[in-house]
Amino acid sequence: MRPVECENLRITYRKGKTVAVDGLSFTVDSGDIYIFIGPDGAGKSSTFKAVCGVLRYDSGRLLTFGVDPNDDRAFEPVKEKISFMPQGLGQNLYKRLSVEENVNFFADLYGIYGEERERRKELLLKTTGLWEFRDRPAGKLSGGMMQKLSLCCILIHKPELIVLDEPTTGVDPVSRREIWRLLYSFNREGQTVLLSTSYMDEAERGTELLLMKSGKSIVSGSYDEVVSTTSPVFVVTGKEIYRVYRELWKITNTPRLKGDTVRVVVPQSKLSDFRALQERLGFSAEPVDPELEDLFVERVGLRRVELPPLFKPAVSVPEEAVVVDRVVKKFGSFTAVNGVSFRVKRGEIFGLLGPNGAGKTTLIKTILGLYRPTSGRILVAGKPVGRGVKKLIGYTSQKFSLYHDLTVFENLIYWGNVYGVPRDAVKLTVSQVAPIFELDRFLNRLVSELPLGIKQRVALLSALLHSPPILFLDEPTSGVDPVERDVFWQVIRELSKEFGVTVLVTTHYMDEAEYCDRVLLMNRGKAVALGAPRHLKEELRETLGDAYLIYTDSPFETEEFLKERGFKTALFGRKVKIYSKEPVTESLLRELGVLFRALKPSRITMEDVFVFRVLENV
Amino acid sequence: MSFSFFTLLYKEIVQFFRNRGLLLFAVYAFTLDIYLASTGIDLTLKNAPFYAEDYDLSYSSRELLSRFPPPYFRFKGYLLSDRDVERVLLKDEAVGVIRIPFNFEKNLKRGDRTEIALIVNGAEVSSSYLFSAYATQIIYNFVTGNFFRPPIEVVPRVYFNQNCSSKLFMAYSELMTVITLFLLLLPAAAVVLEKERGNIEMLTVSPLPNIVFMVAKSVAMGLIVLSFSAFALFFTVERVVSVPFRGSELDFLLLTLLYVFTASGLSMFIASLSENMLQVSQLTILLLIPILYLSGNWTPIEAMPKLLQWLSVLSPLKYYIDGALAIAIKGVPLKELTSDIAALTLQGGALFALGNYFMVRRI
Repeated sequence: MRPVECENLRITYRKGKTVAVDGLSFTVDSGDIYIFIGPDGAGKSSTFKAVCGVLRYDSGRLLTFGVDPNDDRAFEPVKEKISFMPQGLGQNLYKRLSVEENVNFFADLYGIYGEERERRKELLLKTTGLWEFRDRPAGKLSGGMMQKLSLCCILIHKPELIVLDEPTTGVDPVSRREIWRLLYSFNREGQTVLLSTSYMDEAERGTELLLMKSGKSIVSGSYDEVVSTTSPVFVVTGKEIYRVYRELWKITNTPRLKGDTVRVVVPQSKLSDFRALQERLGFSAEPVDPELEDLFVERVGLRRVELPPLFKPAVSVPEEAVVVDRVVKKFGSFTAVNGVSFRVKRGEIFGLLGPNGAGKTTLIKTILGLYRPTSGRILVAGKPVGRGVKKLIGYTSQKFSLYHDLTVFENLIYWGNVYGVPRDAVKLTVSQVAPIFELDRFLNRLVSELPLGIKQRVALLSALLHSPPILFLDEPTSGVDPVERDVFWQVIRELSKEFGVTVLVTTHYMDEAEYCDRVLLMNRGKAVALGAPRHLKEELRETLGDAYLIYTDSPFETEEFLKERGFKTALFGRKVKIYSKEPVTESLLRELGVLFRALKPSRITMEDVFVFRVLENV
Repeated sequence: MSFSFFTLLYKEIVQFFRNRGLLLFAVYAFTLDIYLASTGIDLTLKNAPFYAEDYDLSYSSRELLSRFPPPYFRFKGYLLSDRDVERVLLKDEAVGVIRIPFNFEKNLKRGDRTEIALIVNGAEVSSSYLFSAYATQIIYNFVTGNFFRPPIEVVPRVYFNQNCSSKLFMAYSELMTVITLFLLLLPAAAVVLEKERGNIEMLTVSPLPNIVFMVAKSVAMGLIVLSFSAFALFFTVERVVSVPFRGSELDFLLLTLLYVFTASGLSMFIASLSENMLQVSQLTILLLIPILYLSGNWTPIEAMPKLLQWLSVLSPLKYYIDGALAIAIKGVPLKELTSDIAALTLQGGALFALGNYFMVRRI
């Protein structure tokens, strides 16, 4: 019997007014690691809740272990076979109970007592590294640890199907890899995993994937099947990259500017145009394996955004636009930011990267004067933050801080006014920018009714109305789909490169580092690394060597084996990623006696940088 | 930098009217609630059930009992023994029992001394109290009217509220309670909503001074409460409950405006101490009750213990009620209420300034 069979599933809210899931079909086989990928609001959570019988679906056919979850009485015995972990960090935990008490509670809940309980508890807590923290209250754990504990709690009764709603969102990359490792080890014992994520780069960690947008499936299948069917993908490098990027837009709607390279999907019919352009501009184009983002972009299509010179700041700021010097911020005995220093140059896009709880938001709030630093020095536009500096700053906070009960237009007028921009000036700006931001038809809608991507654009626009020379953006792209994200980064890039706006942005998406000129990696309040993304990756490549992916049927054994031989390794589903200074070839692997199906070159990612830098510092 | 105060006000008012729950609550409080309080809560005796234990069964004793008429009293019948008396009182079947002795008529006519016993059910606090007071008065009138004329006659004349109808008092007192509740609740709720959503940080980072923002909020909420009060006054109180209003409505609203500053200052204190709506509601209740108690709205201030009498100086509602009732019931013009106005201005100015200052400090 298959764990989940689903055909034409439809789920609506507010009596059918909001459609969350619209005609979704998928099948989870026993032993799968099935990954749902999609932005916030795609319908992932609703689907999962329906699968677990927590939410009623409207129509379609859904069977979990052969039973319809809408049939409460029949479904009751099936619930024993499932464990569901809801979205959010440690949602199912009791924050005041200790780690051990939490696990005990869940064991009692599922009727696991005595020796068996103790044995499983020890096993789980030891694999997750929580054993030494077993007396600590759950509320005092870091985000990653909390998530690991949540997992332990739902795994204590050996469910056949584990349903996890965004277990890795906002979790630091080190804990993320540990969580995945834990899932793999249970999967190896035959448990089926159904999991959702908003990180595109987690796609290849499963056996099956389903890409979702607006309640519908864009594509589904195993990673290699799904992602290899697209048109060729190129990474373009060369001089005057921004000009190349602009020209590429004339051929296709898929170019993405990442650092000093452009990634583009070129349809077969446009290949000759592409070659001609290459001839003319003299750039080099390296064909690469497509990634999920390429697929998403190809299917949905990106949109070009060009800003009018309206947002050119009237005031210029000093060369060192933001200076942060050995800043420490403590809350009681807890140190949120621990001696961080950096300087943001005028016109630069500076990224603060790190997991939830790393101290990014605290740091940005301290820079903005919302918190008083415990020690250290902060200068914005050459001065300490005060009334004079405030009008030079544009800021969007994590929750976008729009008024949900006001319309888009009312919000813009209000926020303009707050920055001293008269009503008529706001009207003029809005009339010019609304078409570019595709906000025209939303202007008179309440913000509460808008999709996340639109909210994000409105928030950005509201922070830009007074044409500030310095922009602070706190997690602006969280949960937004790749197309929206690209629009956002185009605007940021244009502001920075064309108008000289300085941008300081935080994100927990490691792959967004590519969009920044320089990044600061943060973990637990400390700076882990600082520099240009390409430079950081190059640095790691020099110490670790190149990365390769080994496809194998026995990933655990293979990884252990390679580790013993002194390789640095990481698990990616049924694949093992290894790093080696010596070139790794199939014959070398055979010589070593590794069982494998295929070997492919891989690349060093920002996540690798983060993981290895953090582990180095420990 | 120039900020349009109008835009700030507009936003607050629009937000209030789009918050359906709060709007509905306000409409209810300023209409139905006042109506129910003024017509439902009655401080006069109505349909009080009573029995008689009449051992005389004479013309006079029956005549006396007939002086206890509906709708104030309801005669339920005769009892024959003291055991029955105990029974009806235990079962709460009567507020009181009137016991008339043997030879009641004979003794009265002879001019001899006689006694009537009033056995009252003390478990029903206010009606038993009223019952004995009314009954005493009726018996006294019966005796003086029929048998002998005492040398002194008391002639009461009631000013302002000739019927001594509690409706009048209850309508205004409830209106003022509701006004106080909303003045405490609305500004705090509006501020805390911004805290919860993180908007306050955006505003702090912006060049708009926080104090301007807070004042705009208080003013907007004050305007809302003021318009609701006007509506309640002209519609609910004067039309629906139809209670007379002696003074000038404009005076009443001007005094309310003054009170708005005082109460919204307190509301800012609530806002500065709260992190979420739940805490706002809790603190509002915590603050509202002493303000109501100490205002003399429920208990006359003279009847309170000395300590509370001194503390009552602090309740802004006291001055507001004093002044507002004087305008509404007695028709006193505003300019003669100098002491109340002075107290409200002083308290209002201080609380408004302090409340806003605290709020800005706590952000």
